[in-house]
Amino acid sequence: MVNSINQLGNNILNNLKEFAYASGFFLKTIRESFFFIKQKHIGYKVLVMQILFTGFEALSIISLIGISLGVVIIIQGLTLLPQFGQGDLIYKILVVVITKELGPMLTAFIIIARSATAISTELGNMVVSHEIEAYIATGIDPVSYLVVPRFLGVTISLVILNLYFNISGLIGSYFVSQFIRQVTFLEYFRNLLLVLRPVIIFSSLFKSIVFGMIISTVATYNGFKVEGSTTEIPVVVIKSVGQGFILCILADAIIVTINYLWF
Amino acid sequence: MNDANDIVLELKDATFFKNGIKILDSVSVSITKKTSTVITGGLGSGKSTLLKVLSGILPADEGKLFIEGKSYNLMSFARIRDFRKRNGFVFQDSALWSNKNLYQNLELPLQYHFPEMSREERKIRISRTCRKLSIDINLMNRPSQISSGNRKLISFARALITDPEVVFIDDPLSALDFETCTRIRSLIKNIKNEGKTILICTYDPEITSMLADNLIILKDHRIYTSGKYNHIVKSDDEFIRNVLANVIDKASNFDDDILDLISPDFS
Repeated sequence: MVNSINQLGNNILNNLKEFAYASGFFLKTIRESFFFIKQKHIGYKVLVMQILFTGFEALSIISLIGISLGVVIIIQGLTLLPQFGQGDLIYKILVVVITKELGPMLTAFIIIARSATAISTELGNMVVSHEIEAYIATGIDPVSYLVVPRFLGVTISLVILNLYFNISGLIGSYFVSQFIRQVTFLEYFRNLLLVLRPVIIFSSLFKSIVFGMIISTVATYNGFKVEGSTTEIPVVVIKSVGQGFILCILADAIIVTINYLWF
Repeated sequence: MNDANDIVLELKDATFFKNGIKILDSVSVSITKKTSTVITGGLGSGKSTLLKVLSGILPADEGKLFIEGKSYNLMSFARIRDFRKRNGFVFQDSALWSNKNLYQNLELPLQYHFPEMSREERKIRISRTCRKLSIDINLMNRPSQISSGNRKLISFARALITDPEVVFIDDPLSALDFETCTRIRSLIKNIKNEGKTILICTYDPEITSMLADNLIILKDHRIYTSGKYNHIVKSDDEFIRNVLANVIDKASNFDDDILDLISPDFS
């Protein structure tokens, strides 16, 4: 009994320590991000490469998923809603589902699967091969040179991919809608714009920024947690994916609740 | 007696843990400018860790590191950056940045520490350093595309590219062929001749006898003995004689060679 209480106490203490350490890591990343933007930094190339990998190379998969989701919503909506006399709700559903909810969340999930895993693996390998120590020995702060470009790169990419996902989803749904019910391009987008309020766009972009910060922090933090063996790398990659999903869903729930209560 | 101003690095009562295991236990070391200090001892005695703690790469869990009299923990970012600019570290496994080619490995420290340097000036500095170290390989290769000997030479080049005052060298001859070992011994000798402060972890008797002004011998994660090489090498202590067995042989050969040179009639 005493042992169990001891173990529970130790677990709580360790989790609190880890939380405090991760929070410190996040705050340092935020601080270094300001310096990075203010100064002419040698890490610009790393930032560009990160945007290229996370943002540009994911465009095709994002557009495919965006179009597919738009197709599903428009087909289900146009067949089901008129049966209840609510055919006009299709635009509101498109905007709420694609722009407000699934756009930021699905792009975040794709980036967790593609980029968070890659970031944790790369940094973990660098720890094992003492490359991080080599950066420190050279005087280059690993947070400012390795973490900040990934932090900014993932966050910027997520915002851009979310916009791209929205455009793909909304345009894809228009083309499919032509097979079910003929609507002119202008009428379709006028109806969309009527329900697409600025607060929805702001909420969607804000979510992308928060998810980008969460994904990149979790991925880099876990990458640095590797201590010296390559067998630790798959473990931290799995942690990055799991923690990334959980934290993004929690953050989404908090943002939606605040949005509901205040707007 | 050393002047306090000559002490470039000082470690006081440093203890270092890794995964709950004590790797260094109350270690105190003081390094004087323009001297060569060899750190040696048994396997797993904490030599590489001591070198990394002394260079500030690994923070000690207990104890303090002083750089030129200033506590490392209280130093500003600018001072630490200046200290890094003036020191170079050669890792045991080279630790070249694998996502960059060899040229970028050598260019990055220059870009960071000499932002005013133009691309052309960096190119000149890199080719000059490579010539000095007799490196004749395609610098557009990635570290994984070259031999471990060449990786070690590039690692030396990266450490020396900023013309540092203090050079840390961790086991420079591990897993290298005979020819590369000879090249690296001669390279280290040149670094000493340039008047740089050298801290080196090595088992190599040739390097120890050729280089050491001071010697630190570690046993069971503590300093067993430290001081002037000439004093320690004469010790009757069994452990010291075991650790230095080959070194003493080399040193006596070296002495014989000198005797041959100065008075050939004696032999």
